[in-house]
Amino acid sequence: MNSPENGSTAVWTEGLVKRFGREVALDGVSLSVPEGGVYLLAGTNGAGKSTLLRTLLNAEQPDGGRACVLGLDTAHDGPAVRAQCGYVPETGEGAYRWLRADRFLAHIARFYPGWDNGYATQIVKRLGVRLDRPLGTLSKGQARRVQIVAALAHRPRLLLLDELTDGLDPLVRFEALSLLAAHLADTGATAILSTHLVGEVDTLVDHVGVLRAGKLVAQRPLVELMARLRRYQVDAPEDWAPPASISAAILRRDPSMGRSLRLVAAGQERDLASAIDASGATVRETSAVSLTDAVPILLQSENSHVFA
Amino acid sequence: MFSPEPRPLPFRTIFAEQFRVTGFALVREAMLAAAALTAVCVIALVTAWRYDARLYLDRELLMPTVVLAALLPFAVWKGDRPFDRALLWTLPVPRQRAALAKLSAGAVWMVIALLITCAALALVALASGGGIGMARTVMVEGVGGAIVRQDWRAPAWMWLIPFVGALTLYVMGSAAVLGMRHPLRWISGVGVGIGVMIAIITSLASESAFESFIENWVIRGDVGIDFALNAGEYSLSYWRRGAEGRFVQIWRELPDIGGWAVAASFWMGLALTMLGLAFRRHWER
Repeated sequence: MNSPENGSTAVWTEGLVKRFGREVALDGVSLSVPEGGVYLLAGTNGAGKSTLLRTLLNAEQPDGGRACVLGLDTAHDGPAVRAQCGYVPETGEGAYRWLRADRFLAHIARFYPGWDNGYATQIVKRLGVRLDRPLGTLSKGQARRVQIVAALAHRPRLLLLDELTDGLDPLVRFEALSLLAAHLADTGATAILSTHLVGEVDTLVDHVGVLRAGKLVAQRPLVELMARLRRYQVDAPEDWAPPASISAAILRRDPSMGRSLRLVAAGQERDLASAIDASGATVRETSAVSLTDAVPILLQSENSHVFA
Repeated sequence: MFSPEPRPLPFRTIFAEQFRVTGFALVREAMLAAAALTAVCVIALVTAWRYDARLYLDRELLMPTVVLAALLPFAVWKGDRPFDRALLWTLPVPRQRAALAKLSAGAVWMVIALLITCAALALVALASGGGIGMARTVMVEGVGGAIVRQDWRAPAWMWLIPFVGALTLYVMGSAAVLGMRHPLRWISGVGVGIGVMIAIITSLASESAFESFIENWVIRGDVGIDFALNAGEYSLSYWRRGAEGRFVQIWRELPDIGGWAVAASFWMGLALTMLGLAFRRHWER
């Protein structure tokens, strides 16, 4: 694993803990995102994704552990970290509702010396942002577009995007994702994307982390995850049970239809297939699992830790 | 291509930006205040002309605005709830500096509003043929208890009282907004609690130590509210029935800047201490 010292890690946390009263939002999260990587942060509602992103900005101060972003300790260099981050919050509703969108962007621009007015104008045009109205009167989608401009126009080294396309219509959603792809390609920026719509970003991401109840239960490069996670079509006797040697690797077992079973398991395909065959069942077919299918499996399985 | 290496923003830049944005935040409140002020001025002027009265601007006229100062922080911080995903905390500025800039911006807008109020009322007074600060004859206890008549006009320093009072209450209000997750609930709860306590104590004894403490220390003491907000008028004078059967105000001594300064410093110190504690909850190394 990368460490913050070797310079190739953009985001690194160790045992990050955040509590809100008795509720534990982050429970010992150790995250690692390489420089230039695009990290999908998946999780159910309330899993702690938004809290994790805000903690990386030191907008929420952690109760334990530490976080290092772009080589800076967030607890000591919060402002410097935020100066290099573009952040789209989970929701912007309620913030500065009285302020016109153009004035809001001008306000944000003053805090970033690298704010590129030309680039901001370009994003505004591409996304069709309405600048002449107060934020409080904008639709959810329009408010989101304003936040996207605010996050990208200062060309940050790290993007923290919390439900980026939430509230956007399909056309603008496509435009926003194209814009993000172009931005990442042009700048080489690192990004952490928190989203429930995994299918939207599966061509962008190269690392995946799964957060469940405040714990990071899985974290791998996408290539490795996809290579190790396979679906197995198995013919097995009615009372068949997977052998102990592979039961920990099985992430999902679909209800059987007759003698046919479908398993999703993590590990070397050849080893797993051999173990299944040796236990009295027969592997009929194996297939890849898409990222869209993999995320819910990792979210639900008690064995997701095999990717931790 | 990334943005250049970040450099800490100077406080004046942060303040200037917060001043601008806070100004936009307060537009609705400012319009309401302007409407109220216009109504007061028009009514006062029409009444003065109708009854051929001369109006004088006295600092007491500004005191109602002082109470509003305690509520102003709620308007300044709207949309930036310090305990709930405030946008302010995501800006590349240390949280305490960002909060201080916002708070200072609100304070400057408040002083500007007070000055405008003061100027508008002064114009009304001048238009009615009156003026600023009315000279009056006061009764002062002299040596041996003799009552001496004395011409007196409120000294210039007394015009600082509404401004300093408003700033003190503004800082206290800001401390509540910044330091408490649910400031209105806490303020209401504490207010109701004190009310209930006073009611219980009053029902148990005619003059309790608690009442005595409130009266002699909190209100009339050397650093009491009366000195801080009223230059000690309640503490330094008393009312006595005069020869014609009317009540007249007798001053033991006239207000002086020293007494007010001590009390005002005490309350401002208390407000700043509260603010310091509130800041601690958001402090960023």
